[in-house]
Formats: sequence, structure tokens, C-alpha cells
Amino acid sequence: MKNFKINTHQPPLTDADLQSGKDFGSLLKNYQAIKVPFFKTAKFWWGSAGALATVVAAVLLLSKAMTNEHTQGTTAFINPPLPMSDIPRVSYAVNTISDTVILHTSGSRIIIPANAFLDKSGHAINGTVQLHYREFHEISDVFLAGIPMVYDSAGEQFHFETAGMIDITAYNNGLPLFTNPLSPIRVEMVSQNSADRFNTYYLDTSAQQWKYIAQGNFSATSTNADSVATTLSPAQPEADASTKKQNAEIAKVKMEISAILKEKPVEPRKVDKTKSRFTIKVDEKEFPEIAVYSNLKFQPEDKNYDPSKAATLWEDVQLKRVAGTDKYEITFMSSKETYTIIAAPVLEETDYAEAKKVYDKKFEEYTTKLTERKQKEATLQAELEAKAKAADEKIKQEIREMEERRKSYEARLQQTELVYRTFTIQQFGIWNADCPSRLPSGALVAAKFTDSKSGQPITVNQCYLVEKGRNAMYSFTAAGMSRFSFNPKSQNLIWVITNQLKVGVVHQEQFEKNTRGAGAEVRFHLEVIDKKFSSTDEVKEFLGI
Amino acid sequence: MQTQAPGYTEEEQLILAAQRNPEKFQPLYEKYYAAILRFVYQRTVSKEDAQDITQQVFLQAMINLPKYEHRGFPFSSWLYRIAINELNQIFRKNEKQRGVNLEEKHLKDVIEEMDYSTATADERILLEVITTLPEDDFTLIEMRFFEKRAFKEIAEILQSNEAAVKMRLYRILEKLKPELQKRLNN
Repeated sequence: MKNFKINTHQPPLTDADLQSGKDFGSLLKNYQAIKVPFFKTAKFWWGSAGALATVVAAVLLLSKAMTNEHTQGTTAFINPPLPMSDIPRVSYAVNTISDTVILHTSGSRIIIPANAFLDKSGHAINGTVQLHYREFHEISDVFLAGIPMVYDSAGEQFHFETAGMIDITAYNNGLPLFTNPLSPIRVEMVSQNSADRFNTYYLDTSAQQWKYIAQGNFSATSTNADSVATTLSPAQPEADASTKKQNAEIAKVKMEISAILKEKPVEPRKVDKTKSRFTIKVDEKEFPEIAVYSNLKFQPEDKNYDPSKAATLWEDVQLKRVAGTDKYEITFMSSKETYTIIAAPVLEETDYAEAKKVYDKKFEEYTTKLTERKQKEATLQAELEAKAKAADEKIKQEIREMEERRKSYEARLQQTELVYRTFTIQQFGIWNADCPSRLPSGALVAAKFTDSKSGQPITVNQCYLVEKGRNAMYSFTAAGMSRFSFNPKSQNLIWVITNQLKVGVVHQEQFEKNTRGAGAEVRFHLEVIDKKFSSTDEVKEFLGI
Repeated sequence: MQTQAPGYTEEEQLILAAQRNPEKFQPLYEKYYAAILRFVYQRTVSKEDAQDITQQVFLQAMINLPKYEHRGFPFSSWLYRIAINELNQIFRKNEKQRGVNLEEKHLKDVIEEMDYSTATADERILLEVITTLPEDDFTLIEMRFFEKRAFKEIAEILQSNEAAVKMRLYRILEKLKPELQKRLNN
């Protein structure tokens, strides 16, 4: 049994216990003691008593601060130094119901079995999910993505050399998804390095460290190369919420038009004095087109009209417009009989002029309203059609790109040295085919930096030594730069992040010039980036690799 | 990491404020202090130890807060992870003794989950077997059976998903069976 103390009668925590240990003031004080380097405090400069103790304390505190800085850094764990030049992700829409194989532009294959995605509660997602994917093959990719390459193995620090790295995540409705251990995704990443010394690591961003997963990961060819042609799955455009909204808007406008048409005013007609007429009360909500007229009457238009019915005492009456006409079907009802006639709304000579005025005004309002709604409908329709056309073009473009990728992939299959490194994705995030290495040796100096243009000293937060021909970068924190080691026989260059969070480069020629014949301290001449790049390739060119 | 939901929740705003100014960490401290203290107390032998370690957990949280990034799990799960790391470090260095706080019925629950009857299995022997497990596996048993946490909550603390946690737990229990049987036969 381990050194456990088993306790079956642990007294529960009381409210007093919960309060007594809580002390934010003391916590903040401890935090500040760790975070503020002692040499920046007034005590360091003005303290006169106990000088020796002060020095010892300062050394201890500085050492603590440096340790924290060295191991934890001061910024976000994954922190692209030039956010505009970060390595972009490709988004694939994946149907979770069936097996899918995605062929990435690099030739890598993402093999996704059905039901590979779970939500936060562990339920399988049915439908389409967005898979985000990117690869890092060159060390400059890793640098631009801001991915740390320091590996801690049992307290000893190593620096990774990579044979390729992937970043894979998935989302559904904007929410992150999780892998299904019963249906794991497999990525066969094309690698540019055929050495077998690379193992598999996963970047645990919570623990802020790389985790060793498995030994080896490469095969000479893809496992299912023959099935590629039949299982290629181009990215489908995601269901567009704004399109749905537009469709709903069009439907709404159509309904409004239909309602306006019903309100089209009926042009007033003068009464035919030779015919009989009668008055009924018209509901203004149900028949606004005629209710606007005062003293409205109805004149039967029915050949079978029976004038004797005028003498009947009717208990109820129903009115219904005859579709497409200005006439109305009027049904008179009593307990004994029902009588229906077709009649037209009419006005007496004396009321006609006023009614015509009302009609002209109402008709103008009606026309304006109808025109405005119809224009709105036409605009929305045009936007929707343009969007559909663009989406159609996007799909065609993706199919073209897919075809290109297929051709490129088939060409790669002809190569004899094609190497795949396989990752079984147990968790979404960053997976790496890496080999830990120690800092290069041969020369040990204290590194200082100067702006190559102004000649002014530059304070550097983080420094990366890169050896050409080796896919690794060796990182030094501000504290670590006093023991800066490199191999003089290698082709070295340096990338730095300054305290102004700018990127700087010491190119290979400059490195050689600065270190040639230098003593224990080397002052490197740094070219600080102060321009905007139009592409990632342009940045890489500037980085000199 | 890739998709940022528009707008921030109240908690995300608190985190952002604390990332900019450590003095603003207090609301988060107040909110999670009790939960972390309980979690630590479950694994220690005295209230004083638990209080000391809890302060240390929050100190580490403040130091690391600038690097915190939301990955779809509650902020509390990040704190639990720090607590687990802090406790592991302390126990590795033997700075404090590892406490296991449980009730007899909790062991009975484990026995039942392993499809043994409580008549044939002995809680004391089971405890001996369980305590030989690696710390990570033991912590999972502890969270599920001794602390009675739901799979969903455990998944959040371990930043995993429920299915994976269930599977891991059942594999651990399966792994325990032969050893338990061996000891029962003896």
C-alpha cells in the first residue's frame, strides 16, 4: 500500500472552515512577491540595513522570477508572434453519419469513421460538423503558429525536432466537439522526413506541456491508398444561416404583398337608378376596401334576383367578395330560408364625388405600399440568387481543387520515398511527430542584441536558435540568454520576440559575422520586422529559412 | 481555440479582467474557493493542510492566468487541474501525507460495480488493491465512488468527455478484478 492515510471519519468542512482559510489579501501579496523582481523595488535601492541579507533575498527572488519566466513564459501558451501571418486552418464540412476520407492539400489523409464526434455530454453528433485542420512541416510554420517546442521529460528540458505536426479540431454550431474513443479519427500525415527516430506527442494546453503518446508513427505508404478515389470528400459549404433568414424574409414580404392586394380599394360606382338597391352594414376590418365609403349601397347584378325577397325579415347576412371582381356574394339568412345574390357596391349621385376622392387617396396609398413591398421582394430575391450563384461557384471551385489534390496525390503515390506518419486522434488539438534533442553545444556565450538599423540595444523576451537543415528551434528566455549555446559548425540563425512584441531576425551571415572572434559576450545585430507581409511565404523568406 | 463565440459570458469577462489586472482575480477566488478547498480536503489529512494547499492552488492559478485560454470547459475545470497537479507534486515530494477519505459504503459501491457480491468480496482487500493503482487511476475511482461526482463533472475536471471517462473507469475496474480475485483466493 502506498503512503496513504485512510480515514473513514473525516469531519466535514464547516462554514467557519470555508471562511477561515480564505484570504485574498495574503494571496495577492504572495503573488506580487513572486511577480515583481526585487531589483525593481525601492527597498533594493534604499535599504541600508542588512545589506548582505538583502542581496541574498534579491538573488533568491530573482532566481524564482527567472525560473517562472523560463518555464512558463509571460504570454499565452500558443502565441503566434505575427498574428496576421499565422498558419491558416482549412475548414472541412464532415457528415458524421457515414465514413469520410478527406484528402488534404498536402496529400495527407484524414480518415473519419462514422460517429467520430461527441458533444460535451458524450452524445454522438448526427449531421454536419466543421473540421478545422492545418499542418506544420517547416520550423518556420511552427514559429509563426507560436507553438512551443520545449519538452519537459522528468524535469529535464529538451527541444523538439519535428517531422511534421498537425492541428485538428472540430465544432458544431460554434461549440467545440470531442473525439469518440470508440470511433477514433486517424490522420495519415505526409512527412518530409523519412527518419524513424520520431515519436508521437500531444500538446496538452491545460497542463502547458507536450505529452509523450507513442513510439514511432511512420509508414512508407498510405494504408488505404487504393480507396482514395472513391472516398474523397470535398468540403461542403456549411448551411448558411443568413440564407435561411433571407428566405424567411422573402416569405414574409410575399405574405405582406398578398395582404396588401386584398386591401385594393374598389372604385366607386354610381347607382343605376332603374334598379333596386339595399343597405347592409359592412365590417371595416373584413372589407376595408368598401367600408371607407359613406352611405354605401348594394345593387343586385343577378339576373335571377327576386325583388319580393326585399319584404322578408332576414335574421343574418354574410358578405363575400367574388374573386377577381368588384362584386360581392351576399347571403341572407333566416330560420326558414337562405337567399344568395350577387351585388355590386354603389353610391348615390350625392355621395359619389366624396367617395371618388376617398378612393383616389386610398388607391395612391395602396399603389405606393404595393410598389415598395414588390421592390423589397425583388431586392431580396436578387441577393439570394447572387448568394446561390456564389455558393454554386464555390462548390465548383472546391471540386476543381479536389481534383487537383487528387492528381497531386496520385503523383505523390508514384514517389518511392513517400512517408506517412499516422496519428490516432484521441483528443482534438496539436499532434506532433517529434524527436527531443538537447541544446546544441560547441560555444557558450552571453547573447545581447542591437538594432541593426539604429545601433540601439534591444531587449528580447524570447530567442529561438535555428540550425539550417534541422527542423528544430531551440528557445531561450530572457534569463536563458546569458548562457546561450550554439554549434559554430552549423549554419545558425536567430529569431527573436522583442519586449515590444516585434519579431526580429539575425540572418546566417550576420550570425557568423557577430560570433567570429567574439569573447564571452556576443552582440547580435538584429533586423526587426516593421513591415506588413502579404503572405506567409513572404514572412518565411524574411525569416531566412 | 479556433472558434470564438461572439460576446463574452460574465465569467469570461471576469477572467479577462483578471488577466489584465491580478487584483481583479478576487471574484473568481471567492466563487471557487469552497469547491477547490473541498476537493483538496478530500485528499489531505487535515483542514490546515487543505487550506494551505488551496492557497497554493490559487497562487498558481494567478501566475498562470495570462496563459489561460478557454477550450470549451468551465473555468473550474482548469482550477481542478491545477489542484491535481499541485497535490501530485506535494505528495511526490512527501511534503504532506496523501489522505483518502471515504465511507465503508463507498467501497461496497465499487464492489457492486465490479459485479461482485459484497458477501464474497472484502472491502479491506479492495482498498488494498485500489491503493496500488497509479495516481491518475486512483483519482478517477476517488472522484466517482468516494466523492460521488457525476461522469459529466469528472469529464469536465479531466477535460475529457463522458464516454471516455466511463470507458477509462470501467477499464480500471476490469484491471482490478484479477488482483482482487487473487487476494480473495489467498
